[in-house]
Amino acid sequence: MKNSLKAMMLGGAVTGMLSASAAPVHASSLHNGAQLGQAALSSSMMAQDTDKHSCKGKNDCKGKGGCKAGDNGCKGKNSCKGKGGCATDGSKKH
Amino acid sequence: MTTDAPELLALQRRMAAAVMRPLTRDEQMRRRDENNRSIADEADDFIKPNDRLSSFERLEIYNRQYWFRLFSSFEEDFPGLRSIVGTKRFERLMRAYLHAHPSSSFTLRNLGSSLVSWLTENREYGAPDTDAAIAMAALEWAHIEAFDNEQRPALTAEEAAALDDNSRLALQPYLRLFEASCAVDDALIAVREASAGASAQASNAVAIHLVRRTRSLKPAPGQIYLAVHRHEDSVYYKRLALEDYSLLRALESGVSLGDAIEAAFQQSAIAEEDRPAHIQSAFHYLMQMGWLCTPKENDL
Repeated sequence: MKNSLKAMMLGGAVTGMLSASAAPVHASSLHNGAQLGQAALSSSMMAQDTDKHSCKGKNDCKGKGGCKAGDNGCKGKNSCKGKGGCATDGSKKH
Repeated sequence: MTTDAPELLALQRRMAAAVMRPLTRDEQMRRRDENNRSIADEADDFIKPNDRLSSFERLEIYNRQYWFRLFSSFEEDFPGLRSIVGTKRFERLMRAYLHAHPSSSFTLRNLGSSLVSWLTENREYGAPDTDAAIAMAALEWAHIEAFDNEQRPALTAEEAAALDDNSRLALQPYLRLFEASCAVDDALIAVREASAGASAQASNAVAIHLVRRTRSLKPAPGQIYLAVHRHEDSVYYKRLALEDYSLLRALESGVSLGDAIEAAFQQSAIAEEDRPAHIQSAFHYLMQMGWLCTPKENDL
């Protein structure tokens, strides 16, 4: 790359950074209107879920229904009901 | 009862080994361990029976629940992969993967961390469209990382003003770059929307219909470059031009700013006279999004 072009590009990069608004980007501006370079006109952003992984490793997933209908993840999930599987003392009745 | 620490640790390890031991093919607890010792005898040795269940049966409850939780978490993390390989193959893939890479972290978030490399080495599990399966697994893992990877302080205007040709920049750890030869992003969004629609429906008939539709989804062919990132606690997929993707990849690799800009246009069809404007626009956006940061010492 020619030195003059290189210098123009670096100048462009710094100018681009300095001209960036200090205001936070709003979610609505992340969709079709926002693009990186000028060639990225066809790009779009799609919002995904917000809490899918937020419960991993924490205790706040209680009651969110880890078992989904239609899959095999819940096979036998009720097999311990009333059988005392969770008792620490084998003599305890539930 | 008092138990000293070494004895408690040994008991905990024994229980963990028993609970984490793989199930049989029909999802029951194994009768024999890997050394052909009776698991019933092992259970009798440290678990009390009660009036309804033997020691073996009581242990089996925990052994099965452990694996059902892993299966459930894995299925939740990779619905797109499941839609590509189909439900039956996905079950086989999941069991083989979890056998090769059992959970070794305190959090199930990391359960699929080795899936892409494992699937790349065990391509038969991704058949018939293994490349699409690997791409989908990679996108779904990128989604997990984008959701909860670290956010560092973004580059400031003062720091930007001091940059020169030899400066180095880092990218936010939550920004994941991704490329594929098919539109797995559209396919994954369709799977998630179908799944969300199914769970929102009261009618089981509708839900089943949507699940069937999901299984038949295949990504459309075509090269894509993506930035998978987080904004205000939501994960977004942004399609990138090749130049922008190459620029970000180069910055991520730690080369100088000058070299990264040069790398952006190595395979570009953009005319030379238009490149400075393209770069200005790209860096404006990167700065606005807060994707750039100063490298940590161990990044250099």
